Amino acid sequence: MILLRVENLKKSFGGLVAVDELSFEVLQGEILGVIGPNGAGKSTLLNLITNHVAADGGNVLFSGKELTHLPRHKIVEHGIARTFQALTVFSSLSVMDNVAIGQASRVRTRLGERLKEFRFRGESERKKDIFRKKVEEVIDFVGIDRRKANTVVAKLPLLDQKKVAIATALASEPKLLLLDEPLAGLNKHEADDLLEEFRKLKSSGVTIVLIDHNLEAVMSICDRILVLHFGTLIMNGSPDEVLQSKKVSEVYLGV
Amino acid sequence: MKKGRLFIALGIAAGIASIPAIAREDTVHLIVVTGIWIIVTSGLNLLTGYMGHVSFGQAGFFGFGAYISALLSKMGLSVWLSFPISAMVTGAVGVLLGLGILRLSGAYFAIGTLILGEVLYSVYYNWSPVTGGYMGLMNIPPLGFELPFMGEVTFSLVHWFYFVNLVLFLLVIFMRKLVRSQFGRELIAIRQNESLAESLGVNVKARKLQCFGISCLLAGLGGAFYSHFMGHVSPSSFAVGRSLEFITIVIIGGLASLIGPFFGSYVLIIMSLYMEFLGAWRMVVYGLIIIFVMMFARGGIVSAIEKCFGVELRR
Repeated sequence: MILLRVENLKKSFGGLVAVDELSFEVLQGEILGVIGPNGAGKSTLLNLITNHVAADGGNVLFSGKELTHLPRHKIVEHGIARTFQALTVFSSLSVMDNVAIGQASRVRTRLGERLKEFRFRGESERKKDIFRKKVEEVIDFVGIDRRKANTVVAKLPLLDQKKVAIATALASEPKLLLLDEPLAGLNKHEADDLLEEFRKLKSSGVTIVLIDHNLEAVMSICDRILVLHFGTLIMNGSPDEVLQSKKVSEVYLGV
Repeated sequence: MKKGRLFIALGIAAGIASIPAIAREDTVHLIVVTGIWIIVTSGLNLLTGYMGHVSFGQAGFFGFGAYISALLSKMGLSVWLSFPISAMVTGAVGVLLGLGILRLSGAYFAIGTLILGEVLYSVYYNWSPVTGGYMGLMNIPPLGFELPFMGEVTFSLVHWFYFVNLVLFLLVIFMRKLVRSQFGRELIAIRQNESLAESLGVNVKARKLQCFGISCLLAGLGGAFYSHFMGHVSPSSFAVGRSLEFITIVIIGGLASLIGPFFGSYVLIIMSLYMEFLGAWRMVVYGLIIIFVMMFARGGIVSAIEKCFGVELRR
């Protein structure tokens, strides 16, 4: 089943064409890798999908629904969550608070609801418990020590901070998770730890699009790989096919 | 532990309740005015401290509430009703203006609110048929209540003292609930990284509007209290200098701390008593204080106390 369909997506910055008439599909339940040299348009692609950058043309369809031009928080509501290339967490807040913010699209915070909360205290407490539980669940899931739940994120090691960013994204209960270079800056051991989380995610039913420069890791975990070069798709196939492709090695090694 | 805290709370409440019996009349007067300032700055703190949007136009909304409430009660509406109505009208006007001004961010938002405050001020100053021009409005009906056998009783200074402190107590409970909820968390998220908050599903536009609306609502409520407590209003109370005073209170009290406005208001009001001889030069002193606090003590009085005594006061 097709979860995300990208059709003729186009974006240029001035004279530079970052993404050029790109079309591909993401299937339900797979881990799709996106690789390519620097400047190939990988991050721009993610930014276009989540509307961080407005597209010049083309469509993004998620479960058949058009996403182009939707405000970003609506896209999260539809079930797409993401992390960023630069580590992005609310560093002066605790792990708990970070993850709870990720629930924004699932918690109703309309003023009317707020006022109701003041009246039906019992009910709202129960609701609060559900959300609290969910936060704890996510924290456990990504493998952050529960004892660190109330620690300010800035004080955690890099791996944990990355896990917080992923946990925050997961708190919105996404169907599709877009990861932009999650392994950057981690040593082999830490990267393996994180890859294990991705496998767990996959088996829990979350579809993943993974961008990374760590080719070995991408090859080992992805079901399918897209190779981008100057904004165009030059290869779409299984890790083995990509490894054997002449075109890809030309792009990467110049031979 | 819980019992101990209850006793401390009861002790503090009894202490506060006995102030009118002990203190001089002008001290009680000062406490009431400070209480009104705390109501306004608590709203401003939500906007500036929690959501990170500095507003230099709060005195405009403070005045809006004051004039609306004064006019409504002069037309014969009960003062008790004119409080909530003027607060809500001010909040609604804030939301309407916010639709435009909240498109700005950072320094541009601050400048926008400065202009907004100035525009409101000139409306109060120049729209004489309604606002009474530079003379303002006099003989604003006082707050009162009906007693059996004794008829109408006008609020005395002591009544005002208890009334304002009761409102403050309810306000603190309300604000505490608000900032600890998902709503409060999302405001902090917007302050720290607006773009990230939006990417995580926070409806940034809506939260900004709601937060700005609440801060205007509280400014309006404070204004309504002010006009009936003083009995007269004039535009000079709502000039830009007052906005600067409010923002100074929030900053020196401690941004994003519920009790910050309490410390800030008392310190500033007591200080301004001793600085009366400075006249308009007071503004220069406020400016210097803001610069000093922003450079050397960003958490304001609240975090200074925390550091000195090693206690946790925040949130």
